[in-house]
Amino acid sequence: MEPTIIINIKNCCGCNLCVLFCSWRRAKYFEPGKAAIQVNKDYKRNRYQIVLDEEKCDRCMLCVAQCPTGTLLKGEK
Amino acid sequence: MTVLLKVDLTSGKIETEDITALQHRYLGGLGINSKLAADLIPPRCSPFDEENVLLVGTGSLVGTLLPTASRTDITSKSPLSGRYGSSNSGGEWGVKLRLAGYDHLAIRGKAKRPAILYIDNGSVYLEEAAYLWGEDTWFTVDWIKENKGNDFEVAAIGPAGENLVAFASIQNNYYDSWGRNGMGAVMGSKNLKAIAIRGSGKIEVACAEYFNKICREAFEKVKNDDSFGWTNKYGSMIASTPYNKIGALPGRNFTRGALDGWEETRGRKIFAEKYKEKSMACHSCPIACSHWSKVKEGPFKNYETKGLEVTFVFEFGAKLDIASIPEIFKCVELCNRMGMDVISSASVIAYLVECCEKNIIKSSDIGFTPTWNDYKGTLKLLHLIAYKEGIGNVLSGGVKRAAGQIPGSEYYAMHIKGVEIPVRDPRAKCDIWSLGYLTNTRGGDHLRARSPVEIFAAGFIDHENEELGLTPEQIDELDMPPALKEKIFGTPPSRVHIPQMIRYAEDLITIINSVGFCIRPPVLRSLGPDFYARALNAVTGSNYTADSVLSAAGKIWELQHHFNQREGETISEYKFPERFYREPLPRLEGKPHPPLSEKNVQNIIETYLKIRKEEI
Ligand code: SF4
Ligand code: SF4
Ligand code: SF4
Repeated sequence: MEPTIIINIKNCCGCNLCVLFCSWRRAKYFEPGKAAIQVNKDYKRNRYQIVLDEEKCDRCMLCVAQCPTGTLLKGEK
Repeated sequence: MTVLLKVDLTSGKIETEDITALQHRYLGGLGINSKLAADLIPPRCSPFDEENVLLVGTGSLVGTLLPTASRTDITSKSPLSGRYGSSNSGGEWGVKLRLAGYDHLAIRGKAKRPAILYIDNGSVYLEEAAYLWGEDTWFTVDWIKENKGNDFEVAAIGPAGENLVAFASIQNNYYDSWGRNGMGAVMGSKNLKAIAIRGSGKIEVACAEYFNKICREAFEKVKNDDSFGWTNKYGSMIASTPYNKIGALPGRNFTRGALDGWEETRGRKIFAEKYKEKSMACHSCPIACSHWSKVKEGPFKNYETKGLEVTFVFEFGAKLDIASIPEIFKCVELCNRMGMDVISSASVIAYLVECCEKNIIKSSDIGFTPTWNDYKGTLKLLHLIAYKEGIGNVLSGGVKRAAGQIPGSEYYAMHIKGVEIPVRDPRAKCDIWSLGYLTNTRGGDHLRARSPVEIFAAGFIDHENEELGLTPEQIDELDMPPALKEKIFGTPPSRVHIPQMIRYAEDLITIINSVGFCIRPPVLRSLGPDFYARALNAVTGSNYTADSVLSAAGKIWELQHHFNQREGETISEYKFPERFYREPLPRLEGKPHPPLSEKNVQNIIETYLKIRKEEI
C-alpha cells in the first residue's frame, strides 16, 4: 500500500513549517516556492488551502511529522 | 551576505550595499538598525525631516525554519518621543523581504507625490499612489493584492500615518502592526503609502549539518518548555484573569487595579470558550499563540477577526473599561484600518475621559461627553484622532503633548519619556517588567525587559531583590553565562538581583529582536545567548560566542542610549508618572497596593545605569 497525505485543513494554523521542512530536506536551503507542499492563504478571512504537488512529493512524510496541528496526517491508498 | 537596500524618495535613487560586516558586529535586525540609526539619522533633525531615515531590519535568522524566526524591526526617530523609535512585527512580510534578496532597508527623503515602494524580487521601483492616499490600510492591502498579485505582502499606513498622528502604526497586512513609537507617521511624512514585497528566491544556510542539530535542539527546547501548552491555548490572554485578581490592570487610566465583572466579560476562560475558533501562527512558529475568533451572538454576530491579544483587552477593556469583547474587536479593527497604535490610542482617550471627569476639559469644548465603557464615544474619538479633527487634533500628539496644551492635566497623562504606558500597573508589582518601562530606550513600554525566569507570584526580599523561586537544577540548566548567573542569582543562588536582571533581560530581548525570534515565553525562557550564538554561526557563518552576542547586545543598547542622550535625554526622565508615587491602587479584594517609593525606584535605576556604564 502506498502512503498518502490526508489534509484536515480546518486545523491549519498557517505556520508554513510543512513547506519549510519540505524545502530544507530537498535542497539544504530555504526556497519555499519550490517545496512539494504549498499553503495558500487568504489572510483577511483566515482561509487556507494546502496544495500538494503529487509529482514532486516522494511521500517522505517529514511534513506530516512536523505539522504541529494535525492538519497533515498519514493515510494509505 | 547581508544586503541593505537604500531608497532615496527625493531623488528616486535606489542602490544596494553589502553590510555583512555589520551583521558580524551587531547581530542583525534591531541591532543593525540601531547602528544605522546612529550613523544615518542626523542629530536634532525633526522626525518628519527628509533626513530622518526609516530603517527596516529583518532578523538574521528569519526565513529559516528555526522556531518563530519571522520577525522584523522598524527603527526611526520617533515622532511620539522625539527619540530613538523602534517597533517589531512578525507574520511573513520580513520573510518575503529576505526571499526577495534584501535583509535591510534604509528609506530617506520624501516622494513628491504619494508613492508605493514595490520590491518584486530583483525589481525595485516606486509607483505613484495618489489614488490610495486617504484610503485605510485594508483597502490598500486589498488593492495591491488584487492589482499586483495576491502573493505580495504589504506594509501600509492608513489615514493616521498620512495625517502625521504621532503614534501612527505601520500595518503588516490586515491584523498585525509595527505599532509603537509612530513609525507610520514617519512613513506618512515621506509620502510613502506602502511597501509591497514579492519574494520567491531562497535563503541559504552556511553549515547545513550544524543547522540540523541546532534546529532539533530549538524545537525540542521550545516545545518542552512548561509555558508551551498555555501559550498555545490562551496566547497572551493567559494574563487577563490573574491581572484582575491581583489588581494589576491599568483600569480607567490607572485608577483601578481590578474591575467589576471582568472575569465574566473579559477573562481568559470566556474568551477561549466563547470566541476562539482556532490557533494561528506566524511563519515558522510551532507555538501558534495567536487566535482566530468569531462572535456567535448579539449585534456583531458572525463577525470574524484575528485576536484577541491581551494588550487589546488591557487597553480598550481595562484602560477604557469597555466590557464587551466584540466591541473591543471593533475598536482594534478601527485602529488597524486607520493605522494607529492600540496602546497609545486607548491611552490618549483614557486621559481625555479622566480630564472630563475632573472637569479639566469641558464637554462643551469637545461637543460630547466621553465616558468609561463608551464604545460609540471611543469609535468617534478614534476617528477624530486619525483625521486630527477637533479634540482629536490635541490628542494626536500623544498624552505628553496634550498635557502641554491643557493646563492642569499633566497628572492624568500616563507616559514615560513621552510614550504612553501599557498593560500593567507597576504598583501591583514593581519588578523587572515594571522597572523595564523606565529603562526602555523606546520609552514607556513593556516589551524590552522581561525576565526569562519571571515568576509573577514571587515576593520581594528587599526592593532590589526578588525571591528566587527556582531550583538549583533549573539555574544550572539556564542558558546564561555562569559569571552572569553569579551576579544575578548570587552564590549559592538565593535571589534575583533586579537591576542586574533588567540589564540581562534587555540584552536577551535585544538578541532575540536582532535574530528575529519572538519573545513569547516558550522562546524567552528556553533559549539563551549560547544558543543564539551557535544558531547565528550555523546560518550566517559568523563566529559568535555566548559572551560576544551579549557584548554585541550591550553595544546595541549603548547606541540607542547614546541616540537618546544626543537628543537631550536626562536621568530625570527615568520617572513614573506622579500618580504611581502618590496614590494607592484599589483592587476588588484585599488592601489597595501602596504607592511606589520614589527613593527605591530611583535607587534601582541608578544601580542599573551604573551596571550599564561599568560594562562599556
Ligand atoms: S511528504 Fe511530500 S510534501 Fe511532505 S515533506 Fe515529504 S516530499 Fe514534501
Ligand atoms: S505545518 Fe500543518 S499547520 Fe503548519 S501550515 Fe503546514 S499544514 Fe498548516
Ligand atoms: S508565538 Fe505567537 S507572536 Fe510569536 S511567532 Fe508564534 S504566533 Fe507569532
